[in-house]
Amino acid sequence: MKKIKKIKKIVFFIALSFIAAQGFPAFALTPISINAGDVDISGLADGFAEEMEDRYGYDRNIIRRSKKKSIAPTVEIHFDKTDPEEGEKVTAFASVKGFKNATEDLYYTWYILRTDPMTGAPLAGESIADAKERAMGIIARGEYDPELFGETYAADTDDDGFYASYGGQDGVGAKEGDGVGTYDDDPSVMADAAKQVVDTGAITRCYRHNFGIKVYDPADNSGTNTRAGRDLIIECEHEFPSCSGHVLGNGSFGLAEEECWRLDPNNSDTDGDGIEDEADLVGLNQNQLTWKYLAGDHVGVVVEGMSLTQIVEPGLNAYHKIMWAGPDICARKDESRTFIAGDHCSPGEGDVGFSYLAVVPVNSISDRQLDPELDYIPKNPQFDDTTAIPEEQRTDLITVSSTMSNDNVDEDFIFYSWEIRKTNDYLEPIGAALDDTTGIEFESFEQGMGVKQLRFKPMSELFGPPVVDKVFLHVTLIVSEHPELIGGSDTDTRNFPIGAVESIIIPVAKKDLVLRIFNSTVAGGAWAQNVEICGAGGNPLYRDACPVFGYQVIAVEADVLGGINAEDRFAWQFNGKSVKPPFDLTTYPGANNSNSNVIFLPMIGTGSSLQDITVTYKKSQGGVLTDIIAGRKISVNNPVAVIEAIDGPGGAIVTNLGGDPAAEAVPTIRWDQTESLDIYEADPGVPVNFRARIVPDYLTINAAATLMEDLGGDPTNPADDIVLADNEVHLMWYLNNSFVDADFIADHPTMAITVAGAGDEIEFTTDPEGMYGSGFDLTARVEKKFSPSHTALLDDAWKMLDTHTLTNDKSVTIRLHCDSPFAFDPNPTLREYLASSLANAPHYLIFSIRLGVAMALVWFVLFGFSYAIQLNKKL
Amino acid sequence: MLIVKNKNKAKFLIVLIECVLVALLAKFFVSSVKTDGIIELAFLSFALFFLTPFFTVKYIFREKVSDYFLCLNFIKKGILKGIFAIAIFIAVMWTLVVQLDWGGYILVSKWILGDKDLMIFFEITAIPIIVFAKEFFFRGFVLKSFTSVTGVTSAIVLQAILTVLCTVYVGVFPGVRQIILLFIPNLFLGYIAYVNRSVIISSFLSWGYILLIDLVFAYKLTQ
Repeated sequence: MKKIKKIKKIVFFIALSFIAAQGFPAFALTPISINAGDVDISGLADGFAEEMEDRYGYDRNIIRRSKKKSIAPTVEIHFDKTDPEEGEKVTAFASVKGFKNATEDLYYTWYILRTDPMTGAPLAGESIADAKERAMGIIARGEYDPELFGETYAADTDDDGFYASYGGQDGVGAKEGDGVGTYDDDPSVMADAAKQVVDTGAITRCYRHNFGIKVYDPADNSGTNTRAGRDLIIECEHEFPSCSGHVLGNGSFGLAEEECWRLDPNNSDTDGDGIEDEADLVGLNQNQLTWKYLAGDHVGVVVEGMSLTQIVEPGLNAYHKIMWAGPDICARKDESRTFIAGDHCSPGEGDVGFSYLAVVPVNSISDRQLDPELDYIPKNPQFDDTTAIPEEQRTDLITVSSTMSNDNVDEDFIFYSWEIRKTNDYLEPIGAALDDTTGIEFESFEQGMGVKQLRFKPMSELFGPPVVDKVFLHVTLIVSEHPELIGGSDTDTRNFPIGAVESIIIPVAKKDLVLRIFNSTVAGGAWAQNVEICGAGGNPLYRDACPVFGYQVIAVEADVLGGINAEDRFAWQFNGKSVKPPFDLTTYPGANNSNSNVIFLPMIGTGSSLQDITVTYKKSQGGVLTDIIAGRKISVNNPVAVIEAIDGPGGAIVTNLGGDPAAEAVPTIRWDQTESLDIYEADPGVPVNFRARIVPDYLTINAAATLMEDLGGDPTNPADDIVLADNEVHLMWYLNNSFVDADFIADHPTMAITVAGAGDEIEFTTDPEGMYGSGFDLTARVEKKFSPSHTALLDDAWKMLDTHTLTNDKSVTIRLHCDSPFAFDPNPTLREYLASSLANAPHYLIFSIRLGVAMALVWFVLFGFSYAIQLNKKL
Repeated sequence: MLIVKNKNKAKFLIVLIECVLVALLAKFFVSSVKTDGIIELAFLSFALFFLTPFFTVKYIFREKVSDYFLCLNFIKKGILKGIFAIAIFIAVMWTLVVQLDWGGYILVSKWILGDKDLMIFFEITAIPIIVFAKEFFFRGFVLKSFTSVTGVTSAIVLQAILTVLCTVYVGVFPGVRQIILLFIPNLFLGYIAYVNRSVIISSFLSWGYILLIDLVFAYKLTQ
C-alpha cells in the first residue's frame, strides 16, 4: 500500500511539472475569469487541485498527510550479562528508535521488578511504582550510602532541582485538551481535517501510538484493526517515580525529598555522573542502568520524548508529538505475561495495541527452553525369529539418545520420562505404553534425573497376536526441570514454561534373514563349508562380534526363512565395499559369489577394529523385489590362550574374591577390588595349576603337537611339524621364558612339572625358598599353522602369497606370598617368633650387608659433598 | 669449586641432604623387607638414623658426638622446663584425645593385636633401638645442626616437621588428624631434648610414650 502511494506521489509531481511547462494557457480551457482584479487565487488553487483530482485521481492534501507516516518511538533493552550470578553487577542498556530528541534529552524511567525466580510472577505487593522507585534511586544514588557517610539530613545545601518539561529536556511542553481518548485523526479533534490541522482546544500534545494487536483475536478483529497505526490523545503525565508522594520534575528538590531518596543533601550530583539529582531521578540521559542482580529480577524502561511525527496547530509552526516508548506492546491474548499494577496493560481492551511498561527477565527464559532431539541405534533393528535362541538374544539392543540443542542446559539436572507405544502401521492410533509384560524389556531406567538414554529390547509379544512382521515403536520423551509434568509440551504442574516433549518412530521388523558364519576347509581343490562358528547355541558374545583370525577363510551363508526363490538375489559387502569374486572361480563353489546366498571370504589383518559383513537380499514377493539387509560383525585377531588358575588338575577356575583355598595360586586383588588377569599369588612350595583357554573357542588344541616332549622333537624344526586341521592350534608352555619340554622338566625335578589334559593344563610347585615377591612368569604360546593345501588354495583363489604361522603369547606372573612368621601365622607366640627369626638368620645377615653397603653409599655422598664445599678448609 | 663460607650453613645443607638420603633409603628398605619384619626395622633404624649421623658428625663435621646431645645431662633448669613441657603436652593431648575424641587417630604398634608376650618383647627390645636411633637423628643431629642457622624455635619446629615428613613418607600416608597427633609429641620432644641438651632423656620419654600408648590400646582391646 505504501509503495502505491509513493508511486502516486511521484506521478503527481511529474504531471505537475508537465502542466507547468505547458504555461497558463492550459487553464484557458477552464471557465474562470482572468481579470487581474477579480482573480481568486484560492479558487485557482482549488480549481487546479480539483482538476488534478478529477483528471488523475489525486488528493490535494496528500503531501500534508504523507508527513505523518513516520515510525513511532520504541525502545529495546539489552543486558551485558545474560546469565549473571546473584549479587553480580548487571548493566541494562536502552536502545531507542523513533524519537526526535537527542539521547541526552530523553527521560529514561527504569524499573526493577522483583519476581519469583522460578515462576517469574511478581512478588507479593510488587508494583511498577515500587520498581521505578527502586531503580531510579539506584541511578541517582550510585554507590552513596547516607548511613555510611553519617548523613543526618539536617540541612539541604545543594541546589539540585530540575524542571522537567514534557517531551524531554527540549520538549514542547504539554497543555490541557478536551480531546483526550480520541484518535488524533478523528474529525472531532481537527480544526481542518483536509489540511490535518488539529484543534488546539482538543489536543494535549501527548499521544499514545497504537501499534495494533499483537495476537489475532477473532472476537475483537474489526474494532482493533481500525485503530492500528493511529495516535490516541492522552493526558500528559510523566512516568517519573515517586517517593512518599514527592513529585519529581517540578524544579524543587528539598531536604525531605533528599532524605526520602537517600541522596546527599550537600551534593547536587550525588552519584557524580554529571547530572544533578532530580534530573537523575527523572531519568535525563540515563540510557543505562547498573544494579546488583538478584534472582528473579525483571527490568524495564519507559522513555519520554518527542516522536518524529509532527502536528500542526492553527497559527503555530508544526511541532512533534510527545510520546512514551515501552519495551513491549500490550496484547490481551498474551497469556504468558502476568498483569502488574501500573504497567498500562490492563486486562481489558483499552490498552491493547499500545506499548506498555513491560518487564524483561535478565536471564531470558527462552534461552533455557528445553529442546531435545532424539536419535537411535541401530538404524535397522530386527527381531530374530528364525533360530531357536533365548528370548533376550533374539533382538538388537536399541538405544535412544536425547541431546539438547541449547548449550546452557545442564542435562544432568533435567528430569527425563520415557515411554514406548506401538502401532502396526503409521496411521493407526497409538496404543498404551509398553512394559516388560507387553513386549519391551527395558535395559535402563525409564525416568529420572539425567536419564538421557533409553535402552530396551523388543520382545516377541510385540509381534502378535495378531501376528505381524513389523511394528512401529513410538518412543516419547518428556523433559522438564522437575518430575511432575502435566499440561502438554509447554507447562508442567507448576506452570513452568520449560517442559518439552519429543518423540521418534522406530520400525522394528521380524528378521527372516540370518547370516551364519562357518569355518571353511579345503575339499576337492575348492573351499567347502565346515562347522558353523559364532552361531546360535555357541558363545553368546560371539553373536555380536565373531572372532576370526588371519588367513582363515570363512563361509557366510544367508539363511532365508521360508527358502529362497529362483528370482531372489544377494549382494554382499565387506566393510562397505562389494565383495569381488576370486581370481580362480573353480576354487569357489557356486562360481558367482555376487549372486549366491553363500560367499567365502579370506580374513586378512590383525588387531583391527570390528569389520562388517552385510548382504542385501532382494526378495521376490508377488513379482516385486523387496530389499532386506542383514549383517554380522567380525573381529580379526591371532588366536590366543587365556591363562586361568584352576583348583587342581581338571579343576574349576580359582577366584580370590570367591574365597578359594589360600594354598592355590589366586588372582591378585587390585586397588579397585577386582581380580587381576595377569598377576597371581601363591605360597612358597605349593603346587599350582593353570589352564589355557583358547580364543576363539571353536579352535581346538592339537595335543600331539602341544606335548612336544612326547614327540621328542624340536618345535622350531619344520621337520617336526605336524599338519594341523583348519580348526586346530599348537599350544606351548614357557616358564620364565624357557620352553617347557622334557628336558626342562627333567632339569627341574623340584618343580614337579606336569602338562596334562589336552596339553592345556600345567602344574608345578613354587619355590619353597623363594623370597617374598619373587616367582615365575608363565607363558602360553599359541601357534596357528596352516596346511599346505590351505595355503595353496589361498594363493589360487585370492593370490595371497604371504600366508605364515600366526603366533601369540599370553603371560601371567605368579608371585610368592610373604613367608614371614606373621604371614604363615598372623598371631604367632613369642616362642614361634624367636624360632622363625633364628631360622631366618641368614636373611637378616644379607639384609644387614645390604644396609651396610647403602650406608656407605650415603656416607660417601655426604663426604663428597663436604669436600666439594670445602667444609673443613674454610673455618 | 663450590664453597660455602659459613660452616654452619654448610652443615645445614649436609644435614638436609642426609635427611633426604636417609628417608629414601628407609623407604626402599622398608618396602623390600618381609611383612612385619620388626627385626629388620631395628637394624634399619640403627644403621640409618644412628650410625649414619654418627659418622657424619665424627668424620665430616669433625666434632664431638656428645655435642649433639648424645649425653645424659641433668640440668636443673632443663629438667624443670622439661617437666613443665610434659605437663603442657599432657594437657594438649588430653584435650585432643578426650575432649575432641581423637583417640582413634593415634598411631599404635600393629603387634598389640598379637601375642602379649611377643608385644612386650618388641616393646623392650626393638622399640628402644628404633626410638633411640630416631631421637639421635632428629633431636640430636638435625636439631643441633639447625639451631645455629635457624634459631632455636625454628629448629625445634623444623625437626618436628622433618620427623613427621619422614614418618609419612616411609610409612603409609595418614590423615590430617594423625599428622597432628604425630607432630605434637615430636615438637615437645624436640624442646625437651634441647633444654636438657640430651637425646637420652627424650629417648626415654619417647619410648615411654609409645609403650604407654601401646599398653593402653592393648588393654582396651582385651576389654
